[in-house]
Amino acid sequence: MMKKHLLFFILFIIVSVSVKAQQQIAFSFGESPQTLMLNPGAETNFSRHYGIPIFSNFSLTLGTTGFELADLFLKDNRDFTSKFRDVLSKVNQDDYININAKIDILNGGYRYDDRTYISFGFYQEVDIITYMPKDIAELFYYGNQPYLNRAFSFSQISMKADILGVLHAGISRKVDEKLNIGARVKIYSSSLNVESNNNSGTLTTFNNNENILRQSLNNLDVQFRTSGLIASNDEFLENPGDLFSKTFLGGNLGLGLDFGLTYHFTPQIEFTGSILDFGFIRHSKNTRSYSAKGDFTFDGINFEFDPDNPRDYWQEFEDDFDDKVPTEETQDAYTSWRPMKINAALKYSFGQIRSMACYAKTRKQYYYNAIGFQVHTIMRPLRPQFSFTSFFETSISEKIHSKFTHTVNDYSALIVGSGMSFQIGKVNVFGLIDNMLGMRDIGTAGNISFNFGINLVVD
Amino acid sequence: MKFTSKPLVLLFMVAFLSSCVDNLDFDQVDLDIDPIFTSPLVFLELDQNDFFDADNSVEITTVADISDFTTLQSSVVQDNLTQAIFNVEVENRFDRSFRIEVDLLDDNNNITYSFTDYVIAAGNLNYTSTTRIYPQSSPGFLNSTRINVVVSILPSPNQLDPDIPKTIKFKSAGIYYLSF
Repeated sequence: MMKKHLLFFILFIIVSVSVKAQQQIAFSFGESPQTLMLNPGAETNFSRHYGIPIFSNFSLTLGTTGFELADLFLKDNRDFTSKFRDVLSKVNQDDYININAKIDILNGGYRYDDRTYISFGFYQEVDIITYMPKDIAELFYYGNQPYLNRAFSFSQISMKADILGVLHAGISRKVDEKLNIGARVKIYSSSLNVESNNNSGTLTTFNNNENILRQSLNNLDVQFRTSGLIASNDEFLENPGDLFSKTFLGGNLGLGLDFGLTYHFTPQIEFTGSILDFGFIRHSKNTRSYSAKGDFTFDGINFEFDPDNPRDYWQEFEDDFDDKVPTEETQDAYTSWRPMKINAALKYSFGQIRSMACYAKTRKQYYYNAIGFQVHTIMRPLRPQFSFTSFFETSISEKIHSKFTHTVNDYSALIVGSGMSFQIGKVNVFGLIDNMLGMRDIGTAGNISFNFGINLVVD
Repeated sequence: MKFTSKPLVLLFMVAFLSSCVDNLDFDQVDLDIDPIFTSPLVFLELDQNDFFDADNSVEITTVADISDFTTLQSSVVQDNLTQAIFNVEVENRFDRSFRIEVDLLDDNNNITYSFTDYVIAAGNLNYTSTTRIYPQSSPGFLNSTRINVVVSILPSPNQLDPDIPKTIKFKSAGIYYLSF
């Protein structure tokens, strides 16, 4: 029976690894040492763990709001351009595309004493979020001619892309029978950062008495900041592989902290909470920032027909524009904040009591079933993203645990997720997937997440 | 209560194993991008004094001015412009007719495109004209870097009086069709 479960699980990994995922439903899903990465204050019941390099924790998330992949790529014999135009019409500036992937390179931990568990490791992360700059997209796609009098807004440009490595060490400490707290220190090494936010300004073309048209750039203030994208010799990075080789302390460095706790109100009611990635990265190497700021009104070239005072109108126009809308390219250092996450869960356990061997050759009582809810928040450039999840956990045996979730978030009000954690001997295997319904037809799923890992655990 | 595992495991696996992207085709990307941009061009306003010499004694029949105009030299325009439209509006408050010649020139002042002369009748306050240019049919057009405007007041029995205010306003805008 166990082999059959394992076979199913391996199949699931093979099938799903090409898809996508999100780690949040793994929060508060016990029995795996990787829980410590989502809550450094999680309780541990083992004496050591070793992550299988590369496989100890892998997660992938792809989410879109406002449109689905099927809107563009469904095999329906419709012209792609028509579908693209429909999507462009459908989305608004609050919609976004989010891609996140994390892969553990190294992960391990050991018990320092009965109360204290130390864990450490290194992982790489790719995180991209871009909101839909609908105005700018329509300006470039359709031009301004169909949209006289429309103020195209630059404030809709808001995006952030990061490739980084994270070296971390954490401690989980049992304070008393009710409270367990923890913290993790992270050293970030960013090999790539591109970000643009807090932009403002509009471009409007409208009819005017001075000339047929007037173009007006109002309150423009746009900035793009990059690090790792352009080398000191002014060349774009040609080999993407370099981006990953710099993630181990070779990039721009930063510092971050995770905090977490577990608190038992009663033996059956447990609260867990964590704040992750409260930190920053200081970008000083291979930085390049671009900005433009100002106001400008253009009515055209006003010919004055003064032969005694010939003018270079075009040069005057360009000089005037440069004067009123100065653009700047700098290599100044800048600070980028990490997207902080906040997790909290309340769980009520019930049903048959099981007994589990713990690190100190003691046995601890656990319940076979639990229900609860959890909230997940991640700080994003425009506004935080929230999700609310209710869940049911059940232990199929002492070594097989499962979790079923229903999540409401920006993507959908019906995201059904599921997770399983097996322990076979010293091998702990876990896998979680968010949006099982979406798996049936990925093209119409706004968001699908996937997370799995294999670790060696010594009780 | 011990939960029965088999249905859950089955549900779990069915969801994973039945995931499919077969109904998607990522090779179908063939996007037409055909934006249309518009911008103001040259405008001018002349009054009766612009058609007299410094002493306001001798009538000048022609005035001219020229400007660089490098919009067409952008690589985006050079590579992707399929047609351009030039709209002109003239408001003539003189009791004299005008001819306005607009030529596009290259760096050496050779004419690359010559618009049909605009002839505006006396007192015509709503003159409009539209010219459509296809770069394929006018190969010199994309070499244009300057715009030259010549305004001529046409002969008439009505003599100009420097003390009687008259104006002529010329306005223009370009519309550029791009295809990527």
